[in-house]
Amino acid sequence: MNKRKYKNIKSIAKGYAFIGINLIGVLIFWTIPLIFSFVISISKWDYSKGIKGIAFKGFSNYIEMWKDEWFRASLINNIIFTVSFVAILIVLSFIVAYVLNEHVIGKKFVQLGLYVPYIVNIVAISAVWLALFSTNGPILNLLRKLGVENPPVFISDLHWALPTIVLICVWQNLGYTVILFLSGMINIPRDLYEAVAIDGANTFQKIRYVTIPMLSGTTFFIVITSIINSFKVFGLINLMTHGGPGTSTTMLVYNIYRTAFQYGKLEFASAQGIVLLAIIFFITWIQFRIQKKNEATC
Amino acid sequence: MKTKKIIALGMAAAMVASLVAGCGSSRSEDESEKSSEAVVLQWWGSFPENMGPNQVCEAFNKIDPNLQVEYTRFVNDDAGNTKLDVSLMSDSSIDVFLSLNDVLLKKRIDNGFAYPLDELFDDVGFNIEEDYDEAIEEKKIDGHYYSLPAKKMTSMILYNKDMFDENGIPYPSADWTYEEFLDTAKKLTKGEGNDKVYGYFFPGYDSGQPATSMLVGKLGADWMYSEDGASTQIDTADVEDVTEKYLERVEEGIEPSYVDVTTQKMEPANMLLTGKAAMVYGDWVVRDVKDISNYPHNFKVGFATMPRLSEDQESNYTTSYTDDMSINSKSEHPEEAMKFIKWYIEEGMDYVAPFARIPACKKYDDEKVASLIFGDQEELFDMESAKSIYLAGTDFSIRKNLTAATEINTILTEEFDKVFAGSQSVEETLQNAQKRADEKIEQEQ
Repeated sequence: MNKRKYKNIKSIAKGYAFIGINLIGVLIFWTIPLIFSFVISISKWDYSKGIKGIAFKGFSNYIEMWKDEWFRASLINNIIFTVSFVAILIVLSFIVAYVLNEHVIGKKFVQLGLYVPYIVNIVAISAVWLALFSTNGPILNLLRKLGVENPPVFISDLHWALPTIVLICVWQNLGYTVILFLSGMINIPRDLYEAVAIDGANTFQKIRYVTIPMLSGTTFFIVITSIINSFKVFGLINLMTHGGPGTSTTMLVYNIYRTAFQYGKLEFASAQGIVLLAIIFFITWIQFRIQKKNEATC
Repeated sequence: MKTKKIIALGMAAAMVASLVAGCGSSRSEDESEKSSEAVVLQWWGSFPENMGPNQVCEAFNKIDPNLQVEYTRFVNDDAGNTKLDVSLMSDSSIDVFLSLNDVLLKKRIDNGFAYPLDELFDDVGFNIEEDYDEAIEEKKIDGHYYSLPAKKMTSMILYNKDMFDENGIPYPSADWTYEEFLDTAKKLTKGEGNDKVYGYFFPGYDSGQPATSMLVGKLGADWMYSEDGASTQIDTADVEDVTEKYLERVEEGIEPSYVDVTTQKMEPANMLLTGKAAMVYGDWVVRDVKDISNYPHNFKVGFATMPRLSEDQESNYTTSYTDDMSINSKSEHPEEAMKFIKWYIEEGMDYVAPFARIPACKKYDDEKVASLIFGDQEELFDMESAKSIYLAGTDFSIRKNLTAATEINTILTEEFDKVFAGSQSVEETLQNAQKRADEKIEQEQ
C-alpha cells in the first residue's frame, strides 16, 4: 500500500517535471501579465514611479469605458466584423473544400495557392492590398474600365473600409479553413454516401444529411478559433487603416493598443483588455455548452 | 532505464538553474562595469543615423573619452514613438531622447518621463538667455524646462521657380494673401492624368491638417483651443472658412484629394522635384532638394511664406521650435546627459544643420546657418528667398495648450476624414469635433 502511494506521488512529480518548463512559460508570459493587467485596471498608476506607483482605485474604469465612444464604436465594429467574417469564411471555405474534394484536378496545386496567404507576413499582405486598392491601382482601374463611374475607394471609404477588411481577412484565412474542412471530408466514410445514394438522395441531400453533420466537430473548431481570432484582429488595422476613416474600422484590440500607448492610459486599456478576455471566454463557454448538448442528443 | 530518466530530469533542472543564474550574473556585471568605466549615454532620436547623428556622436566622443554617446534610431511614426515611450516607461536604458512632436512631448512630460532640465543648468554652466530668444519662455511647463529645442522650424511653401517663369507668374511676395496664393496656384495647375501638375500640394497628414494648416498662421499652433485651454474652439467661422477653402481647392484640381494623397502615398519631395506639383508645403523638403542623386532636377527652388488669410491679418505664425531634447527622468547620468544636450544645441548642430535643420540656438548667426545648410549647393535654390523667408521665419508660436491633445488629434482625424470623403457636411463635422473634443477635455479634469 505504502509502496503504491509512493509510486503514485513519484509519477505525479514526473508529470509535473515534464510540463514544468512549459508551465513556467505560461506563467511568465500569460498568467502573470493577466493578473498584472487586472490589478492595473482597478488602480491608478503613476508609471514613472514603477511598481510603487500603483494605488488601488476601484472599478470605475469598468463603468467609464461604456461612456467612451471609441470603446463602444470598436465593440460594435468588432461584432459586425466577427459575424460577417466567420459567416463568410465558413460558408465559402465549405464550398471550396467540397468542390476541391469532389471535382477538381490538380487539387494539391489549388490547395497550396489557397494556403499561401495564410503563411505570408501580414505586413506584406497589407502592402499588397493597399497597392491594389489605391486610387490608381488595378482594382479601381478595372472597375472604371467595366463602366463603374465613381468606384468606391474601398479602404479609404467610410462605408467600404470595414467590408474590405473583412474580405481581406477571409482571403487570408481561407486556405487554412479549407484544409481543415478537406481533411474532415476525406475522413467521412464512403459507405455513408453509398447508403444514402441507395436511398435515392441527390447531391444536396447528401451534403445536408451526411457531409454537414459529419463535419460538425471540424466546423465547431473553426467557428471557435475564427471568432477568437477575429476579436484579436490588429495587424491589418494597424497597417492599413489606423482605425479609420472616421471610426469605421476601429476594433477592440487596436483601440486598446491606442488607449495604452498613444493616450498613455494603461489602466483604462487594461480594463478594456479584461473585458475583451471576458467576451472571448464567454463565447467559448457558450459554444462548448452547445456542443456538449449536441453530442448528448446525437 | 531509471537512471536515464533521472539524468534527463537532472539536466532539465540544470538548464532551468543556468537560465536563472544567467540573468542574475549578467546584471551584477553590468553594474560593476558602470562604476569603473566611461559613462556611455544612450541617445534616441528619429533621424536616420547618417543624417547627422553618426557625425554628432563621432565629434562628441572625441571630446572626453570618459563621456561617450551612442545613438539609436526610432522611426517617427506611431510604432516608433510607441517603442520609445515603452522604453521610457520601463527602465533607464535611454538617457537622452528627442521628440519631434509637441503633443507627444507633452504626453511624455505628463507621464513623468522627462527630467526638469533647469535643475541641471548651473551644474553644466548653461545659460538659457545666452542660447535662446525670449520665445523659449514658452517652453516652460509649470515653471520648468523639460526639453530644449535644437531646431527652429519655419512652416513654408517651396516652389519650382521654372514653372513660375514659364507661365510668366510673379514670384510670391513675402506677405502674400490667400487670394494671391489661390490665384497663383490656379495658374500653375495644368494637365490631366499622368501629366497632371498640381498648383499646390500638402502632405496628407492627420487631424484635418490639409485644411487647418492655413489657419495656424492666423491663430497660432494652438488654434483648436480657447485662450485658457479649458475648452476647444473648433466650431468657428475661421475653421469653417479654411475647410471650405480646402474643399474648393480639391474640387478645382489645384490640390490632390486627401484620399489620393494617403492612398498613393504622395510625398512633397517627390511631387515638387519630379514636377508633379508647383508649390509644396514642408521645410524638410530642403534636404531632398539638395539630394540631386535621388531627386535629379534642374530648376531652382524658391521659398514662400504660408499666405495670410486676409489683408488685415496682422500676425503670421509660421515659426516654431522642434527637435526637443529631453533627459529620461530615470537616467542614471542626468548631469552628463545635460552636458551632451548643451553641446548638441551649441555646437553639435554643425553636423545636423546640413540636413536642413535650422539651429535654434542664437549662437548660430544667419551667415553660418546659411553656409551649413546650403554649403556649395546654393545654385539649387533661390538664395534671396532662402535667406529672407526660410531662414528668417515670421511670428513665433509654440503649442502650449495640450490637454487631451492626442485624443483631440484622433477626433479631428476621424471627423475630417468624413468631410474630406464628402460624407459629412462641414457644419456637422465641426460641431461633432468640438463636442467630442470638449468631452475629452472634461474627462481629463
